[in-house]
Amino acid sequence: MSVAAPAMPGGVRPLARVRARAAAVPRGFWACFVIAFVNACVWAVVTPSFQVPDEVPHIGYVQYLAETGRVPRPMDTQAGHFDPSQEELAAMAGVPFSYQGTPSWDPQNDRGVQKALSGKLDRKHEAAAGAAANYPPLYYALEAIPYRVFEGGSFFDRLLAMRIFSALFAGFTAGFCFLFARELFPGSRWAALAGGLAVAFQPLMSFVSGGVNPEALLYAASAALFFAVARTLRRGLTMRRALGIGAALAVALLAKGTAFGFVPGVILALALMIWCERKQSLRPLLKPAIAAVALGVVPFLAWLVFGKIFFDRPAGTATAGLSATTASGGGINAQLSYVWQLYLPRLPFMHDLIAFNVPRIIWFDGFVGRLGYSSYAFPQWVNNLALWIAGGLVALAGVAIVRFRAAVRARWMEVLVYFTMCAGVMGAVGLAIYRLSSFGAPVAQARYLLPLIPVYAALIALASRAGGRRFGPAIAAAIVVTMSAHGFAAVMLSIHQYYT
Amino acid sequence: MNGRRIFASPRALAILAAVGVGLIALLFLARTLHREGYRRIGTNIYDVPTHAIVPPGKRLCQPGEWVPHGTGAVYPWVGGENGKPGGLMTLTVSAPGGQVLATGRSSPTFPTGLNRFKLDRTIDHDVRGATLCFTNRSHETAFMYGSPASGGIKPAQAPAYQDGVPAAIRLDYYAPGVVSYWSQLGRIADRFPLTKAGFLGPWSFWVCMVVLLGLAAAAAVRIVREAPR
Repeated sequence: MSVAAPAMPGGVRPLARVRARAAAVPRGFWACFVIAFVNACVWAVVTPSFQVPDEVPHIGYVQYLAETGRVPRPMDTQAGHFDPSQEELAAMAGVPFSYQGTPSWDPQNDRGVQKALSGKLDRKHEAAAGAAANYPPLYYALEAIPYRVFEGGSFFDRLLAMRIFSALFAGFTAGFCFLFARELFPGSRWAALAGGLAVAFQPLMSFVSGGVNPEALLYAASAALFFAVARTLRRGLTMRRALGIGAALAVALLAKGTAFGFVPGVILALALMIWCERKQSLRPLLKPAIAAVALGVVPFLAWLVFGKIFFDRPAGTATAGLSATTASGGGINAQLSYVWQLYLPRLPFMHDLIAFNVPRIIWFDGFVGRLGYSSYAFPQWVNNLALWIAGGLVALAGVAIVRFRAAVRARWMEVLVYFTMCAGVMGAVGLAIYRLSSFGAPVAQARYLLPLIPVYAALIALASRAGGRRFGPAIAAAIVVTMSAHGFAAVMLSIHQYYT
Repeated sequence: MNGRRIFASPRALAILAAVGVGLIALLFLARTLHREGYRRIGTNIYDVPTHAIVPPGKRLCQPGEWVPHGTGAVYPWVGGENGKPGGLMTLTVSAPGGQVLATGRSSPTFPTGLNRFKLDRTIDHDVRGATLCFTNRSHETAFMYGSPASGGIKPAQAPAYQDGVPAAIRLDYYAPGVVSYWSQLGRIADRFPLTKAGFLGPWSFWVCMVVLLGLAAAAAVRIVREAPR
């Protein structure tokens, strides 16, 4: 017997409202979202278990949180130290875990592991969070959802569920990058779409987001923050937009402390908006500005204070500042010089602190595709080809800037804000690298700078616009196909690494 | 006339650009898949942080090995003392009962690293619990690299180990001749679902490939449709 549910206006309205909201989102957002999400899902399936950076402690954190409802306390937070739960250990034993990451491909071994995992193994182990225990809990709490939904499945089933859930953040990253580029270049949808799709196919972003790693959420929140700031700078500060900025910043900070680098840029953006309206009443602007900062920063500060009081948790990794004790030693001057040399050529008065070309080898080649535990990468000729392509894109972007120089000049404040946001994150990442590295050998990976991936989307969009209305779409199409081929090649590279 | 119309239409230009770049990418893909080389079909361990020491005339045996069918060459990570070149070594592959399945040998000299020991015959079925014995036929000491034995990995029976820590020797198994990626795709698909979610099978590899190509096509169509006519 079936009973037709009566039409309940109260029940239908919220659904209709959600539908209307979704319909109001530009279609380009959904295109970028779906393509980035599905692409990251492919990465989630292709990458062997535990071969995404630091996946072992991140899974340990989720597992403990999901199984007990409690945030793990920091016990042994030494990087590279693993103390997994009994179940995770059994899975790791089956997947030969290494920085080189070549599984044995023995089907009997696979059957043995799956059988071992079907037994009753302990899942509650607080120390399993390892070095990740210092991280804020937001990402792990979200990942606990798929973990709980697939609680009855094997460990590998739950791992795949967590990875696919994480892939959603790749969708949001690409979608918000599209919206950011669209906000910057409202007149040409194809340019913004090219930016969003280039992000959707970016191999490093897809690889990390297709694993269990809180950086996936950080990238999405950072992209949302860039979009929220751009929208506010373009359309004016309202309470709703301010809350958007605050929410994006709060999520980014609660995903990873690196996002603290965004705070100066956000404060600058709000201050500039108030300054622009200084001749009128400031009151209507002060309220949303304060709300944005409060919503953005207070949850993170609360986390730091509660962590310190209740769990004796250290007050931050990348956020520890210039005076922190470091493995490399050195004072403030040395730290500033070191951070400078991570990104730019050494100035004459600086000591040579890093012996190799970090911008090229770590940041550029890494962005093109250094995957796994930074254990494999494209052959050098591919990196060289990518450098030529990147040079071409920068040249095209330069042409567009010259062409639209009047508009660029009129928007100097926006440029200053984005520059400050980038410099803040680069500084926070640089200090963290300084603190964690031994002298001359920076522990740096290109993924640390992926919170700035909206800048990449903006560069692609800008380059597409160099061709104007006639040739611009053709440039955009060529870029998108090139980037999709780049993403495909990176998957093939991973297949070569792990399965041949 | 038609050519002039194409160059006047942003959408036609976008289609041309997408198709042109797409064709170049497909050519690259086809070329890569056609490229021939020696292909690894199995391995036992992966790290080589330690080594066993094999003086001249002595023998090292690695028991408990899974030798995959189709193996025509074995690659140990081997060399001379402290990174120097190694000298001639021979190899026997034996079944658990002691029956010799194949023999092989190295080059007269070789650099430290993964080195090819071609077998005199191809192993035609999976052999579990095989023993591989390497004999140092040169006048110099050989170092054979691997990992400290732990868990289910059996240590090599070696004359000596670095720091006295028993180690298992890294061994990679290769097909006998050069093959293209095309011919390896089936094997890759078989390996693809190992130690992953239970419902995944070899089909998941093919699905991933189709999905990736579909995404590229969808993105190209989407961007072209945004171009003004």
